[in-house]
Amino acid sequence: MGKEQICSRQLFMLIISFELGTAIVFGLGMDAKQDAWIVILLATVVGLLMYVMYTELFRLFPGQTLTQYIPQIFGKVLGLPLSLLYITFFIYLAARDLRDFAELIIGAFLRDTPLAVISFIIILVVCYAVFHGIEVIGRANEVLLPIVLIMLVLMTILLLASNQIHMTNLQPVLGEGIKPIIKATFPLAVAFPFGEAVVFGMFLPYLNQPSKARATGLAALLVSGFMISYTTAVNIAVLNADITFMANFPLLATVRLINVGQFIQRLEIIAMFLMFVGGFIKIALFFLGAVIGASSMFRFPNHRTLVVPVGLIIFTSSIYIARSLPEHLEEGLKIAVPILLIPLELILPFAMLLIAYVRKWYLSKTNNS
Amino acid sequence: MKLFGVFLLLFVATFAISISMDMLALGIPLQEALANLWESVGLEKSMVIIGFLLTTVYILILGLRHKEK
Repeated sequence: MGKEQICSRQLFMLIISFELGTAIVFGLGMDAKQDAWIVILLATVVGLLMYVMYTELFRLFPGQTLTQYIPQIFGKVLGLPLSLLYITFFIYLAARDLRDFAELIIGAFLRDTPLAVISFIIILVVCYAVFHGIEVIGRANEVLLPIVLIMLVLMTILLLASNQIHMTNLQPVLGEGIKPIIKATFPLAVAFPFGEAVVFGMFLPYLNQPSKARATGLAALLVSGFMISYTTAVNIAVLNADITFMANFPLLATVRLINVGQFIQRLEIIAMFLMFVGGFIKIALFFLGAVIGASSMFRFPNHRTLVVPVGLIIFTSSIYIARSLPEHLEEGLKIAVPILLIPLELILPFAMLLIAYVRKWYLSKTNNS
Repeated sequence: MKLFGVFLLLFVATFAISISMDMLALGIPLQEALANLWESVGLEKSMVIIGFLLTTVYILILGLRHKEK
């Protein structure tokens, strides 16, 4: 790999920001109503298993990215198109996240500003970060994530001071049994956001201590799962399950209710900051994953050459991906999950792992004989 | 030339995914999905066309610089 390296602490923080990304913006698992926070905890457990699968593939093909070992597993004829599919998948997910954040800004603040202008400004900043690579993104995240954590704590304190947290909104726990929870967990909550960690298959070779990839990632997923579950529980406790379900951006609606002594109020900036850090990191990582994959697949000397062209593709498709926010959400949550996310995040990596194991077993058997 | 080819390939592949998702979400045929693409707001269309042209120029400049070396 190149000279760039990240340490395990940076990977830990990157995974947390990545997972918080869009998951904190939209209400996850709300089909289970007041038990949505349990859905996220359950999805975290499945997410941990999926991450073990990704790191196992990395262990079998050390020093290689996801798009590099796919042709080794499936052969060039099938492997190269599959690698290209993953690169396109990362571009598509970056475009979806870019649209999410542009819609968030339009919906919350800049109602009359054209979508293209906001998307263009965001993608410019992300292009700059991606141009400088994983090391710079990792370092920037080291500065940003602690502020996110402070904001989360501050938000809870201010909501408590505003007397807005009503624990009765979270009751009855498991009121309708375990069935709605299972239904909400599979496949949506598993595929989004935990399955999206498949993109880290592109960055694990940059880790300075590859042996720590699994433990670090698992710890980060666990922490982010608790944080998303906690935020969801706070949203429900403040707004109640029905309003959280209906709100496009529940966290923003929750923060808007902060009012301490008619003096400390209008603190939407807290929610915006939380959402933005996660969003920036998430778009940047999908974008970087795509350019790293494409540059190694098409044998470019470095990923920088591809930043502008791929940035334009992300910008363009984020605009053309859907005509409205409801259509965008419908596509993302109901269509993309079974057709794209589950096959590329769960089925294909599982098949790769199985084939890699069988091949390893067969090779060791023939070597012995 | 290679860069432009990769750019076009990724462009077409990403739009193929976007269009197929649109077709499935709205339950519309390919022709209508393609027409939806073209019917966007003027500013957005202009920004995309300008962006496409600028990227092409950028790739050409990169290619020329590479040739000079």
